[in-house]
Amino acid sequence: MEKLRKLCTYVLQRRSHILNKNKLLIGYHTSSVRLWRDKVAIKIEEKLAVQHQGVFNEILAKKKADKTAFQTAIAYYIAKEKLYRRGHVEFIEAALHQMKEFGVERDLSAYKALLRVFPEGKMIPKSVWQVELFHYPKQQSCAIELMDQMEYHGVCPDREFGCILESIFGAEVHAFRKFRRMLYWLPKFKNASPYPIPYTLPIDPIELAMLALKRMVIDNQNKLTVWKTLEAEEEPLEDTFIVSAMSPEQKELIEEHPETKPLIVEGGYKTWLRNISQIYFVLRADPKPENFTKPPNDTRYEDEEDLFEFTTIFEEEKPKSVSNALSIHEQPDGTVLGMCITGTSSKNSIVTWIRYLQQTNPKLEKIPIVFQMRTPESGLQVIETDQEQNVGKFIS
Amino acid sequence: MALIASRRLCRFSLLGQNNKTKWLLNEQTNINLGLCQRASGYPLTKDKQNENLQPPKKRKPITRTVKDSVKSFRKEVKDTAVYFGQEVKRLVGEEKERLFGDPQQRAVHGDYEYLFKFDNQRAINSWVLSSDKDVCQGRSESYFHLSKNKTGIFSGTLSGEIVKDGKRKKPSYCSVRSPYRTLAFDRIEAYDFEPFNCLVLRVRGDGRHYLLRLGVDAHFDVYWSDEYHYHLYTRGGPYWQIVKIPLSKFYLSNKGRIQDKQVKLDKTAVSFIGINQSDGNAGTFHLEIDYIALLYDENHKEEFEYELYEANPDHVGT
Repeated sequence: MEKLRKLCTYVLQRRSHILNKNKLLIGYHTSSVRLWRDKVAIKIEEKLAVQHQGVFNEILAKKKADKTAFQTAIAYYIAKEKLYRRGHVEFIEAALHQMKEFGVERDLSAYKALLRVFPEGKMIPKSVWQVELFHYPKQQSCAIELMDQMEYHGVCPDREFGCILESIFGAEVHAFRKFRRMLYWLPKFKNASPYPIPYTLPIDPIELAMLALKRMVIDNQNKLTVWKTLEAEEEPLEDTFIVSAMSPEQKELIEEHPETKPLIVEGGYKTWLRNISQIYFVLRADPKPENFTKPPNDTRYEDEEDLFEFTTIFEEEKPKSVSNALSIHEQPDGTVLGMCITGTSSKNSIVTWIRYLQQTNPKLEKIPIVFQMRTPESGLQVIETDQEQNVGKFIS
Repeated sequence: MALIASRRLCRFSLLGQNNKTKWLLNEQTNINLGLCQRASGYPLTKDKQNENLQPPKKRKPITRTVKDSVKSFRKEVKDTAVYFGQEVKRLVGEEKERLFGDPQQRAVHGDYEYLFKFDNQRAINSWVLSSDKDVCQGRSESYFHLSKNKTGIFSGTLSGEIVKDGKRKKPSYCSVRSPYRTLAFDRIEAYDFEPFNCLVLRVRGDGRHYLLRLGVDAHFDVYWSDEYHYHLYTRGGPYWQIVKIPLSKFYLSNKGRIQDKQVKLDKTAVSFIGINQSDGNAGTFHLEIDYIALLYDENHKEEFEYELYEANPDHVGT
């Protein structure tokens, strides 16, 4: 009897303690014992989550954040939890948050290694009911979240990934359905872009600049030239690189350009390669409006034309009178004569670029050049990171 | 927009009109006259017009006489009459065209029609702009304005910040969409793409990819969040690109999730066209749009790009 009284007082004490501390739980459970049990579970979970975050922090303190460090952290966890794999859901969630920091968010093998943290065989449902009632819900939604992150970063799973998933959850559950969905849809859009970028982008800024310029130019005969100012001349204004894109046709256009009309260097335009943005500058001439206005209607054909009022998309592009075919660089809002990306995007580097262009285009020395470093379209740009600060100052 | 504005007005009056709300109202009305519509009517932060706008210090007592009421009543009656006259004219025109107009002929290869051409301020103003900032779910900002070359520019900043509300996991979005097509008396009607089979856009982008959205004119609420999507890839750089996307390529998605069971796009029931920027990379974006057109391409025979065979019915949509 006394024992029972003791237990009751203990439970009541616990209850009041818990009610005070964690008021959210009141709505969910009436039994104080269950409350106490949940409290313990929550405590353990929190502890585990902190621990798992700690695993990554420990590794980060010792090693550089890269793929091997990430795999070491996973191996460390598996070695520690050899028998029970306690808190594997929390570990995976912590790892998913840290992936970008380790630079493995686009790496399929990292996701596979992370998936192997789930215990095998234990969570395979044995009946249809178990399948439909979301067997092991927390684990499955964790796996779905993992695959969602893969999808977000454009990582397509392969057969091996499916095998690992099947050995953990079986081939009927919701998590596996998500995998099948991804396998169906992702390859459809994998190569949909007509302006493809390599899966892993280069780190070298010169290569990045070349890649961006190659993507932007539409002339097949275009030639890229790379200058490093230190190598090109003895006393450069700046130590930087200049990547310039110009085609033979553009050179001809510069040759034909009258000396009285100035050329314009516009700049501070942004171009993106997936998540990397670069700033490029354009050498352009003012447009020739006579090329883009419709020729005056020829009265002889007017009646025939207006019979059914047919207009097709090809008609508008073809002027009726005989004239030279326009070059692709001549656009209604300007003739593009060259593009460049420099290491610093500073005014000095742009001036240097024009000076280098004069070596191959002697006509440029005679034509006045106006530097318009702020464009009416782009206006002021918001600067977010410290890296862009120099550029931002320059533009504004 | 007027509807949204009036809704907001109601909310403010419910809250009680103090100085702060009055200031907000002023700002709100200024925005209506400004660059472009905002979907939810939240104020722009970087609007130069409103920079110097300060909340008024003293509130004048509202004095409303019978004379004023009569005046406003008269004005209302007059406005309504003018509106009615205009709309009746529109209705008569529409009915005339329906009854006596030429029947639609079969499209010939190369036939096209401009859906939207962004060469005037009015066309730009009619489009609806929104970003996650408007719905208090992020910090992205977007603008849609007319450029010097008479083209529309959809630009802004996509924020990489995830609002810590415990629900959101992915960064944000910016979007701009066309108005609904209206008939006389502001009846909303679906766009009809019928004889055409391709969407053509003349754009100049910045190398990022965008999302093209086709809204579905649906009656039942389960279909309200259905949309058809396809990607708009841009080259970047100073050259214009003409993008031709067959309508058969648009896939069905619900609340941004691609659907297992695909259904062909109904060309006669498109409620709006929209462009989204949500590629997840934080930073500025810039898309210049000249026009959006429809084209009939004889050589494109495909009805629907995606497979329509029956998958396991237990698994579809679960």
